[in-house]
Order: sequence, then C-alpha cells, then structure tokens
Amino acid sequence: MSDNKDCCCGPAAKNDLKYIKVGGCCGAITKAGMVPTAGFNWNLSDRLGEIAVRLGFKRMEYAIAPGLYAVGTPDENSPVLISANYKLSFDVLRRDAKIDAWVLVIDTKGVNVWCAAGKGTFSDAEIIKRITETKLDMVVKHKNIILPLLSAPGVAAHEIRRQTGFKAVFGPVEARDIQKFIDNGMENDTAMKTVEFPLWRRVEVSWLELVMAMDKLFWPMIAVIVLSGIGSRGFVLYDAVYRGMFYLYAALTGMVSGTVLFSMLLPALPGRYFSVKGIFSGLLGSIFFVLLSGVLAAPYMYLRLPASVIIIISIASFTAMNYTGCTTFTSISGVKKEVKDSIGFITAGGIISVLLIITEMIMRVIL
Amino acid sequence: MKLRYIDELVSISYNQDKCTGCTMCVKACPRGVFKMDGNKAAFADKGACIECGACMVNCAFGAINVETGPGCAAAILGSKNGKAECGCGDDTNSGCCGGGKSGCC
Repeated sequence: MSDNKDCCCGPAAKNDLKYIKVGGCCGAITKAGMVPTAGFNWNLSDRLGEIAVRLGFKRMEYAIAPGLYAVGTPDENSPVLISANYKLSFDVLRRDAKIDAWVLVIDTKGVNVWCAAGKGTFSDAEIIKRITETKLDMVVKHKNIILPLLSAPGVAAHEIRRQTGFKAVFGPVEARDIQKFIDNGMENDTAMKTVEFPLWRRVEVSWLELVMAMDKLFWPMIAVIVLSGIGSRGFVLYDAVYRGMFYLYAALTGMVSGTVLFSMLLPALPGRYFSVKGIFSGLLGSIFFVLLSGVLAAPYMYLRLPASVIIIISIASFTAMNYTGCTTFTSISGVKKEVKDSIGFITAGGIISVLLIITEMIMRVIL
Repeated sequence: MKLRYIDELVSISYNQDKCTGCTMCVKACPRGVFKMDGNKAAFADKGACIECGACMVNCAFGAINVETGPGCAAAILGSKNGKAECGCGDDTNSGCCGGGKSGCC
C-alpha cells in the first residue's frame, strides 16, 4: 500500500477527521470513475482496531473517507448498501454481509449507524448528497439502495426516492442477514428486524463503560488516599497507600459490578430501573469483595465494612444506570424518570461512604 | 428474548385517520411496535417503543408523533437546559461520551 495521496484511496478528507485508508491502491473502474476496493476479510490492523475502539482508544477518530467503495467484485447489477463512516461499521458490514456490493459510505463524523441516526448525521439529506456526488446512477443499472434498519430514526426513505429516484428500503439489523433479505425479495422477517442484545454483545460494549468509569477515578482516589494517610502519627505515606488501596479495590469492584458483571446478568437482575438492577449486581460484587479483602478482620471493621459495601453498591448502581446508553431497548422518557428517581439515593450513598471514611480518620487521630 | 424497559412511560401517539397503509412504520420500527391491521397500521406492542423516532420520520403523512432523544442516563445527566443530546462526535459535548474523546455510542 502506498501513501501517495493522488492514488484512488477514497475521496479527500473534508473535515478535521483524519481518515483511515481502506483497501488497496488500485480501485474498481466504473462509468463514474475509479472507486476504492475492499475485501470481505479482516486483516490484523482491522482486528487490532476493533479491540482498541472497544476499549475507548481513538474511538472518535476511527473514521474512513465517505464515498463509494467496491466490496468484493460488484458489477452494475450488484446491490448498493449504505453505511456510516465509522470504520468498525464498514468493517462489520463487509465481513458479515460477505456479498459483492457497492457500499456507499456517508459522512457520519466517524459515528456508528444507530447513534448517527439519533444525532441526525446519518440522514436522508446526507445520503442524497452522496448519491449525487458519487454519480451512483452511472455505476449501477438498478434503482435500489439498502439501508441498515437502525438508520431509520434519521432517514426518511420517501425523501431519498423523491429527490434521487433511488428506492430506499430498510434492510436487516445485522449485516449477516443481507443476502437472506435480498433472496427474500427485499423483505425482512421478524427475526431480521429485531435487535438482539445477547450476552456476548452486552459484555462487548460493557468494557468501554468500565474504562470510562475508571477514567473518573483519579481525583476521588487522591482524596481517599490523603484521608487514609492521616492517623495518630500525623500523615504516613505507607498507611495512605495501604489503606487507600482498600477503597480503590472497593471502587473498582463497584465499577466492574455495574458494568461487566451487570451486562452479563442484565436479563436476570430484578427491577426495571437499571440503577435498581445495579444494586443487585453491586451486592453480588460486595460479597466477593468482603470475602477476598479480609475486611472482616481489619481494624475499624464496623466502619470499613459499611463504607466499602455502600461505595460498591452506589458505584454499581450509577454505572449500571449509565449502561442505559449502551442498550437498544431504553427510551428517553423512561431514562429521565429513572435518573430523577435514582440520583438522590446514589449521591446519598456516596456521601455516607465519605462520612464513614472521615469518621475512621477521626477515630484514628483521637485514639 | 425481547428485553424490555419501562413499558408505561412511552410518549408515542398514533392517529389512525391519517394512515394510508403504506407500511413504512412497520418496516422502520426495530421493536415491532406496529403491525398492519387490514389496510391500516395499528399498535402491536406499544410498550416496547424506545422512542427512536424511526416510524415518525418515515411516516410521510404525519400520523405518528413521539418525543425522541437518547435513552442514555449520561446524556440526560449532562444535558443543558433540560435537553438531552448525545454528544458523541461533537465538539460541544453534553457530558455523554466522555467529552468527545471517548464514549457511549
């Protein structure tokens, strides 16, 4: 692969996002000019890229250039699929659909289909613009384009037809069903248009929530370490780190309980509010913590035990509540009510824990 | 298994008089909220609605109304003036998605 900017590796970048190159240097020749090509299989950098973005690394810069791509060896009768310019969206599409197709990548600022549709960047206006810009009518003989079903919140299909003549149909949720959708006469069956949220996918998206929660841990931990270092002998660094670690582990237990553990247990946890479900996964995490941390034999156990358990449950409840944004079955009316009803209890839990930690410090100084 | 949230808190409303039976709402909805009942659309499972707005946007006849927005606590907690917006990919991030650097979506 060459870095020569003049080669046909997709249209030039138009905003400040630096696009990741896709495909080889030699494109497919169409009546509308050369377009970049891509295969079905992932290479090492595609794989590593997915792992990185799932952990939140350079996730908002994981974008490819908008424009038309030839996936496999499409001809003028091959289907046209519309995708977002989040590289993972494009990669999953070409890998899972595994069909020779023209893929029209629109500019969603590097955001995935569902979120971009919600934000309005995956829109009929943007699709119409790209259809015109890429001269799609010269590339294919037919007048059909297939949209991912999860783009529907942002795309008025009738507008695309009215303005370009292309009939836009909503395809399946998953790229792997596209061939079946076409064979079915461009119709979804119930399973193909239902969003599944199975165990592996729930866990897959939970890691990012965990990384983001851990990101917020720095300053609170500094505060707890400072408090932990204060005792009858003044401030002792060893004590600060040693006792501080106890609460660091408690906080991490809460975060893991409210993200990864929570995502695994989601359908089984009682309650409808995620914050309530999070209390239960937090309780489960607390049991592990109490057994493994040796808190029952620690000094000031009567303060540390409730402090750590309340921290774990509060953090688990809060991070579980934030997991609403990872799912495809929550609604804004519901989440607004959940946040309103829950945030007071979660904050109270945090305050109680801090008061218990301060009480322990005072006891140490006095005794 | 269809995972569910809070069924009774759904803002969607549907005016069957305006329906022309084009079936777009049935086709656009990822939650099976609508079904065809003869030559008109009807609610099949209203409580499953996640307020994404796909049906409303794709109803060319204005028969459906729903208040849309991200079903995301981080977006709501970070909202300004009571309007929750998912800030992913924006410079002006609303609190969701870790200040535009990383995030939920």
